[in-house]
Amino acid sequence: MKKNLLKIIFWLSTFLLFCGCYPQENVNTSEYDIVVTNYNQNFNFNSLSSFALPDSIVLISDQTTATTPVFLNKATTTLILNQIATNLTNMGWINKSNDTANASVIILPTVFQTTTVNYYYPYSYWGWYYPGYYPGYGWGYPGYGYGGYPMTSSYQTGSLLMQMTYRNGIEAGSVPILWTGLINGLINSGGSTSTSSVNSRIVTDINQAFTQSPYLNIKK
Amino acid sequence: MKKLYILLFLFASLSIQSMAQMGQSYITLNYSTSIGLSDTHDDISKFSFRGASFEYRNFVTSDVFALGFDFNWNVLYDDKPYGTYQYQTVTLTGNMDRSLNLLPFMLTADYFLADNDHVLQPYIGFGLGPVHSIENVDMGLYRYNNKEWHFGIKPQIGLWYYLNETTKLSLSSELVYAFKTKDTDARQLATFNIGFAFTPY
Repeated sequence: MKKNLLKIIFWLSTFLLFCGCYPQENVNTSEYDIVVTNYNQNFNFNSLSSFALPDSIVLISDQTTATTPVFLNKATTTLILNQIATNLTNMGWINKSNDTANASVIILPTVFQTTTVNYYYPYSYWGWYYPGYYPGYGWGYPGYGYGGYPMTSSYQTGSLLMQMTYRNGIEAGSVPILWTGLINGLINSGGSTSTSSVNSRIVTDINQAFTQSPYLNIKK
Repeated sequence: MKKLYILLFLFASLSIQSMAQMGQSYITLNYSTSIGLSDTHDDISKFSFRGASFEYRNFVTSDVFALGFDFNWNVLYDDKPYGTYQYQTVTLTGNMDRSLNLLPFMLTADYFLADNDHVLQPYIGFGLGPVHSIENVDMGLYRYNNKEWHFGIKPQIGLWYYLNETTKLSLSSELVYAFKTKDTDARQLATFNIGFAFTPY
């Protein structure tokens, strides 16, 4: 009887232990990067020949409160615009950024930045209690509880949205989007993400957006 | 007359032996490994070493036929390398982690090909009941989560090996088939289990 009970306890414990197994999550910042592209499959991209890019990139972040647009810093803007232009040129497109009126399509890049804050504090941390609630007790103060102390962490995510707009298709104020490229990832995680590594990932991810869009190749 | 007594004695002792398992309950606790089949295998191809199962069997009316219920928990998991995935006109590139938890809760019926007098007791069985599936697809900073209840069936085969009066070593394999629902594909799983079956008293 006792032996069987021990067996049951042992195997139930093992059972629960295995039930508790969960896979390991991603660990490197770059592993969180994703590149998403989509396109209008009914459009013949070979009918196009040139593109134009703006000289600034609009920045939308959760700190943005101004009614006038806020722009991304010059260095990152140049990096992004150059990389988009290089890829399109390699695919046979002519850069008409200096002659916007005659460009077949205009690429509109936008950058989004979002900060997410996680916080945790144990229930017991905010252990206020009224003086005299228990006989002989005075004021209770936070920090004397059990179960640890509060922790906070935050991370900043960034997205670059590239939209290829088709000038000749504008109808009733609606601008057709022929192709969309989105790259998204962590840009700051507790200060551990350097600018050079973020820049390197931006370049890699923009290249990937065009690599996975072979229909944009209009080289004759 | 003496021969008749001997025959009667032998008959009685055989009857007692063959009735020994009837009415008896067994609890089986297994460590369970598994692998996805068909479409489930296309999504997650890795063999899984994460799983466990609990089975209850009662030899209600016969010493070779048991009715019972069981509960499995198998976790399929695959950490796919950096890659590109296509869905209609949308192309996605990144690291993808997929996991699928399958939790069948089934009523079971098992037929043992040998009774309790034998050291080896192979059996075949069948189960049916609800199957809960929890699917997670992690890509980048995003997670797609899908929880669903399916109706499921499972044919199974197994073998009990006599260890002592109350305990048997149990080896078994099941084919779990969770039928497709309106929003979720069918899930198919083969499990390979090792554990102990014992009388709980």
